Amino acid sequence: MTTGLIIVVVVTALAFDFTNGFHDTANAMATSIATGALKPRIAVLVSAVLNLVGAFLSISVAATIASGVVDAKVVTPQVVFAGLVGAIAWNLVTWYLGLPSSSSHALIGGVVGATLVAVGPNAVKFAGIISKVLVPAVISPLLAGLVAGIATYVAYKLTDKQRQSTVKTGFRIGQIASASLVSLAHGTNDAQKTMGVITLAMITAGLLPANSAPPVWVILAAGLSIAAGTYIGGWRVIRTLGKGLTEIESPQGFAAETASAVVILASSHAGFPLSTTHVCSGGIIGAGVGKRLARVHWGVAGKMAVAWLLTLPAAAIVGALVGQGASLLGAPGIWIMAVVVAAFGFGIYLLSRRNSVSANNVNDSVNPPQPVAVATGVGA
Amino acid sequence: MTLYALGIVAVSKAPLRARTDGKTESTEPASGGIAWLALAALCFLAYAAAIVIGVVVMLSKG
Repeated sequence: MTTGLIIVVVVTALAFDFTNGFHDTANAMATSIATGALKPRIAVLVSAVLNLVGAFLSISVAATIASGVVDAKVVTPQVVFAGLVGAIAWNLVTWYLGLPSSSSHALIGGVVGATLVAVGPNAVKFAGIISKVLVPAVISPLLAGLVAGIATYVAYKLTDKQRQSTVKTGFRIGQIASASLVSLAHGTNDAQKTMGVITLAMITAGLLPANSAPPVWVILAAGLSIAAGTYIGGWRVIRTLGKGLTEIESPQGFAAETASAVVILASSHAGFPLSTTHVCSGGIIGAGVGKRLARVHWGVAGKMAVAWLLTLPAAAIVGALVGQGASLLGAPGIWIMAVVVAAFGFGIYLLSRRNSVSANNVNDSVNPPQPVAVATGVGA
Repeated sequence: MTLYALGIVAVSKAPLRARTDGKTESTEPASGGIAWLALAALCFLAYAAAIVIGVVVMLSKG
């Protein structure tokens, strides 16, 4: 394997890590930004630092990419590259649309698609896809929603008749703690995937002995990439989660983030794989349902659900196309595909400039106000 | 979560010192509020302990 191929895989993995960071900032910080517990720029800075810290806290590469979903023996750097490109493409599209979706599922989808093309269906463990991807995707948002709903109800019930200025301040401080915990958990889980990808590629190339731990520069690069992406702030997704699903107040934000943290920690303890995005989105919807008379915008929730359903097949299709294209183009295929995905990313960036969402307008309403019916009856 | 909410309730219960500058609400607790604040501190500490335990559990799996 050439050094050039390794460089392309490393750069693509770090690019994926970057998109993962800015796509998932919303998971931890959307509610804190929406309720004003943290100013937008401060929120993404806190989240970025904690993601970086999280990357250093856990460096196990046991949970390598797509483990249990495809036959590990057939995962070559070319397959990983195509899978990463599929995941990056899906992350960029959903970011542009402001839809939270799972970066992990996108990566798994991309690798599955690339594996199908490179080796065939025998190398794909469909039972693993059901147990590791589909079942958690259904259960985790429901569970987080249920916990957040109950927590929201209890929070309002307990504090309803108390001094509201104290209640608001207290829950805002609590939000900062719980959102920080989600950021830390995200760093420990998601930066690790990129470390695993890069380490695997280097082992395959003979640059590292088998079963090596990631070198320090890999840990640093992965941590910095996810932190940089987080700091850039996926403002579009933050706005959808913070303002699009429901009007969040500080007790709801606290309940949503704490419920998400509890579900993530419990599942981590139990070894149950899940997506932070699904958990946090479910938590926010649950917090909306848990408050009496609160309104949940089910249309937005429906769009998110569709995006979740499409994540795996869409990333798989892109992964398969890139894998096939790189294979047909021969030696320079991977380089050409890398240029294509870079151009695609730049195109999405240019499109996003047409209706830019930033720290300045992230708290603007997503759902335009309904027109008020005006009575025009005779004699009015 | 319930502990944290109870902590907020306890803080809210702490009576505030009357202000002499004509404003309606003070942010300083009166002397009788110490017990409430101590209770609040206990609740918040218990919540913080739960978070720390959660992080340790998470990292022990990493």
